[in-house]
Amino acid sequence: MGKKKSVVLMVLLTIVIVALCALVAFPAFPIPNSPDSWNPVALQYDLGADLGGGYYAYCYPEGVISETEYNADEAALKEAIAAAESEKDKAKAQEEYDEYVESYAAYKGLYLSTDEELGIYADGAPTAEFKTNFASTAELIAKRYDEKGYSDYRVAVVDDFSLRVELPKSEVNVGSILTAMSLTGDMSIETGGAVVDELKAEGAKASDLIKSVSVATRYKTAYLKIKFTDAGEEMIERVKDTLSEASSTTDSSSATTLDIKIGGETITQIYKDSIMDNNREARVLAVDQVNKAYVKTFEILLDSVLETEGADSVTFRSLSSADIRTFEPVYGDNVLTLLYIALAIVIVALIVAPIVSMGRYGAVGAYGTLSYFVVTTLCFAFITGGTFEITLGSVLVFLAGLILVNVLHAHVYGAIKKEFDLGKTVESSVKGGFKKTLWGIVDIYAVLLLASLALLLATGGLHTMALQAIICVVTGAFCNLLWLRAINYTLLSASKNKFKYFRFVREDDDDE
Amino acid sequence: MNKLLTKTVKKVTIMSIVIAVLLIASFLITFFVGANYGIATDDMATLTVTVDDYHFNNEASIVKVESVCETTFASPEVNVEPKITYRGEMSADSELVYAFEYGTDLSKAKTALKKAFETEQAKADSPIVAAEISVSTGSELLKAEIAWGYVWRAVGAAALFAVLAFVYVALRYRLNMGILTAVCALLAPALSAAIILLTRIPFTAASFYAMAISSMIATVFVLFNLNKLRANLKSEEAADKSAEELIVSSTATKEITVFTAIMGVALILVGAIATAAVRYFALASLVSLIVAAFVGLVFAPALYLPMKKRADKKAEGVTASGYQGAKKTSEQED
Repeated sequence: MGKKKSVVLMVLLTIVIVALCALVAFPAFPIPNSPDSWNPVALQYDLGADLGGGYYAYCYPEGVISETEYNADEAALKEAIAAAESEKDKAKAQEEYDEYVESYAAYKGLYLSTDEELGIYADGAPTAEFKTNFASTAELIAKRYDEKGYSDYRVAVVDDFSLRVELPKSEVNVGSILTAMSLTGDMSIETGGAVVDELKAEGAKASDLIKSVSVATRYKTAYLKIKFTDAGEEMIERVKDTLSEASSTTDSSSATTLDIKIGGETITQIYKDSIMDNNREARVLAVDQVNKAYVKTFEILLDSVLETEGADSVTFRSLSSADIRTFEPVYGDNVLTLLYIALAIVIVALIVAPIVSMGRYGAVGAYGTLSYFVVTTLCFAFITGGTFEITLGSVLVFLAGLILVNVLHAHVYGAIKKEFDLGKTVESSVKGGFKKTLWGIVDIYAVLLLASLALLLATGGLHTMALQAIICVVTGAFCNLLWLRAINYTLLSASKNKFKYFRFVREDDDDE
Repeated sequence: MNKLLTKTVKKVTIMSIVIAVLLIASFLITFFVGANYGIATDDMATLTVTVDDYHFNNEASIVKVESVCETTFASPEVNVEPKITYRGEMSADSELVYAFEYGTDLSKAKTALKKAFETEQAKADSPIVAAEISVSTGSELLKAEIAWGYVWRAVGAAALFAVLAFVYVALRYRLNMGILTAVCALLAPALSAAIILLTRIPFTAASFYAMAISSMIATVFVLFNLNKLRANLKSEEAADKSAEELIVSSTATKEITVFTAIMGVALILVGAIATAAVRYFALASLVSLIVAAFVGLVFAPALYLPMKKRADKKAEGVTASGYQGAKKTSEQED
């Protein structure tokens, strides 16, 4: 390539890389005379709980309320007394207040109902039965979240009789998951509002009719596969003709379906055309494959209920969207800014250090650093395959990849220098150096790619990190095996003094 | 560095014993004492200040609420220090949840805070004069933090990687080199986990990221060594060198040291600049990096030495006991 062409090519390349860097990292600012504002790619990531916060909610059993809720109710009743105009109204309001105060007993940060029917609190203490039932239910719910395989989550027992569940911000179905996971009680199968005959007999259980529940995928659709036992198949055969077809139903409220309920809540409805394989299975809750995790929640729930059918448990109050709190990163919302500052310093150091130590060949490394930075950050932001949030693992894998690109670039420099020291010309040394290091670099990236692929087996944040590692490995391999070699040849051909380019000194040249 | 490696390359037995002790000790301590999950994920005592939505989202009001809380916590009669604060936003009331070490007595703090808010709200010019504020306390006992499903899948992924790395390296290099790579790919994350658990660095789900990277980096270091070793084996000087000399001279000291130094500085920088959670993560990552460097620089050459000696003997037709067969012995005597 001619010198002029090389110079033009490098100028264009530099402009493109600088523009892309600005697209990725130029700080946000409001655009003058416009309601819009400029937002760099770096501010458009979905963040994990460590960096982006998440959701949490308190789950209270029936008959248990928080101190805040009690105080609010008590204050409202006190206000009603004060606001009562007549003596009669005042007496009535006072009676309501006394009744309310008597109906609850303070216990740590909670208030427990003293209603005998609920059996929560008696003789100045929580009943032994309630304690046992709550403990077993808390175990059951914690196990359900465990099976979800979250990387960031937390389940804690608050003041002995309520639960606090924390989920990462990446969970898009937070409301349905928090509600579903806290459902307890036995499973019932109903049609037309009445329990099916097979479950009316004493001791009959839903597990006598349902053999297993699993998530399956077909034609990019994920669904819940409910397999029936022989008795279940007979039940299906009996009711099948009375059921409506989903494909011809426009108003679901008027349709006749086979409803699967837990603790009175309808989990799913089986239509006639959901029944497959000669009554052996039903396919329900079909969603796009991307939302497979949503269906998984119901698999976990139904499995757990079938396993523990008949066991005593406490019933949790249903959650509304107003009960779910969002929280910023617990270590402060400036955590991301500080992290970006630290990463910026590392990137600048990785640009400057090779130039200082390897001359213009080091400048080629700077192009590699910036190219890797631009490609990975753009891919991290715009590849969205379900959960793809930026976590601390993403930062680590990005850093390791960036440093590897630079170390391998320096490794090639070492090989070129070794060739040069044997007395070869610069061109021949470059050719030899690249040739001798090629397969070693291929091996390193191949094994790293295998590592990333193996890591896909993991769940939660590790699975996401595996996807990001694949991006980093492919980008790194591209930089070291093709990109930096091409840039090096272009810059080298534009260079007047090839010895200076590599900072090589030949002793006999000095003698001359 | 080479002098040091010449000494360590023969110490594989001692190193293996120390590693085994570390692994067993961490397992036993975690089993009997439990892991340190850190304040954000461990048991905690909480003090919750619920504020109506309007005042929670009003900058002046929420700053005042926070300032009242901080002043009260720092007062001599209360004197408690929250470790972290959750800002929980809801569609109606929102809350500030101050988390303290589990077991902290917050009854004085609660009473003092209620009083402080009453005093503040009595001031006509206070930004929280009409705010609905309520204070409650609680204690949280951790039920689940790291899912076992998550742990087992991560272990499965590590095992799968070890198998894949073994197959690749055994096919591209030699069988014993494949075994070496697989052992190092598994050892690095295991040893990292052991040290993180033993040193009581908070062990969170993010620690698994550090362990995964440790496995990858250790494998890269081993491959640097194997590349150099393969090149050295082809050279003419290889025949004059002993197995020890050959392995020591084939250790990619420069590449491993440079990578470790840059990554180490980057992690220290990230840890120094960023906040507590990131700092602990950077610390766990630093431990994993040092472990990977140890595995690549010290343990892998030491482990490969007996493997190479055994392979050399086999190639010469000598068994482990030194017996090389009557025919070869008589040929040598002739």
